[in-house]
Amino acid sequence: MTRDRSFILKPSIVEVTEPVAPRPDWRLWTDSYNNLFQVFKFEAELQ
Amino acid sequence: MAWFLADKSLQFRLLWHIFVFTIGLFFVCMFCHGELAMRRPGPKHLTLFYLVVSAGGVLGGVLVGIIAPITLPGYLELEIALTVVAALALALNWTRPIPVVGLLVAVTAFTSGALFWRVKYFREDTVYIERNYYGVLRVKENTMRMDDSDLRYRSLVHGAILHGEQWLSEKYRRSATTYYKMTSGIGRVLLAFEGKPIKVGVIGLGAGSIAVYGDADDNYKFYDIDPAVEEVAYKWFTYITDTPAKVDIVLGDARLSMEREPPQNFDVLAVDAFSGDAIPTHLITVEAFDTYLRHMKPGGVIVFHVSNRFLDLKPVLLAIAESTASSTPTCTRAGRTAAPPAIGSR
Repeated sequence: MTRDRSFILKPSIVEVTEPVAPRPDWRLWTDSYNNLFQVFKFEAELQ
Repeated sequence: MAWFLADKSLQFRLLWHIFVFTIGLFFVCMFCHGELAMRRPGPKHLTLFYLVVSAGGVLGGVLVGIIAPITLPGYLELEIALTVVAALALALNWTRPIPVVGLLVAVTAFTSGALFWRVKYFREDTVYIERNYYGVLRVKENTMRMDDSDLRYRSLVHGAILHGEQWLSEKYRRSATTYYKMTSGIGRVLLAFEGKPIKVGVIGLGAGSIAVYGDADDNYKFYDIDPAVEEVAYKWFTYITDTPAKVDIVLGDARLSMEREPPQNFDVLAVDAFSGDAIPTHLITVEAFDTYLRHMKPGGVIVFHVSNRFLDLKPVLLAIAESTASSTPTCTRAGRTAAPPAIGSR
C-alpha cells in the first residue's frame, strides 16, 4: 500500500498485481472489532 | 484424535480437527468423569474426595502450564494425555470381557504409536528446538540432498509454519528465498528502491531473510516479540550478519514499540506477522495502520504479508486502506523463481 500512485504503477509491480474483491458487508477492523470467522477460508478448507 | 495428531497430511484440516477433537474430548471427559463418579466414597469421606479432585485440577494446571513447557521440547501434552487416558481405561477395565479388553489394548497401542510417531516426526531433520511462552521454534536442515552441499538448506519453523529458509552453501546463502524472493511482493518493492539508501521497518524477524536486500547505506529495523527468534536468527542463519546494511532489532510487541518511538521515516514497512494460524489482530486494525503511517515517509510503501492457509486478509486490508484514504492497495502474488533453485514456497 502506498499513497505514491507512480510506485504502484511501476511495471514490475503492476505485472503481479491482482484485484482485491471488496467486501462492503464486512465491518472495518478496529481495536474494538475483528472477526476471524468472517475471514476464514471455509471453501478452501472444505475442498 | 491420535490419527489426526500423527498424520502430517491432516495437520491443516482445521474443520476436521475441530470436529474430531470436539467429539473426542466429549468421550474422554465422559470416561474420566464417569470413573470418578463411580469411585466416589460414602458421605463420610466426601470432603476429602472433593479436596483430592480439586488438587487434581491444580496438578493438571501445573503440569500443563509449568512442567510441560519446561520439560517438553514441543507441544506433546495432548498426545501424552491421550496415551495416559487410554492406558488408564485399559487398566480400569482389565477384568471386562475379552472383546472390550482387546479394543482397549488396540486403542492404547494406537495412541502410544501415534505419540512415538509424533516425536519421531517432530525431531526429524531438526537441529535446534526452543520452546517458550510464544511457541515452539525449530531449526531444520534438509537431509534429502546430502550428496550435493550446494543444495543443503536450513529452515526456521514456528509451530507448523515456515518462517524462513536459507541455503547453507557460500554460493547461495545470500539469495532471497521463499516469500522474500526477488519476484515476491516485498522483493519487487525493495528492488524498486535499489540505488538509493532506504530505511526499512520489518514487523516479524523470522530468519531475517529480508535483510538480504540490504546495502551498505540502508537501515533495516526489525520488530519481534519473541527473544528466541532473535537468538535463532543470529545463531543459525546469516542473513542478519551477512548484510552490509545497518540492522536494529527491537524486542517487544511491534505496535507498542512503534507507538513509543518517534517517527522512523521508513521508505518501506513490511508487516510479516500474519502467516500463522493465530494472527496478532491488533497489528491489522485501522488504529495500528495509523501508527504505521506515522512512521512512513511521504510516498513510502507498506507491504503486508497475507499468505495464510486459513484466513483471507486482503479484503480487511482493502477496507483499512480505503478508510485511511490511501492509494489503491495492490496485492502481489508470491514469486516463484527458479534461480537459485526454488525451495519451499506456498
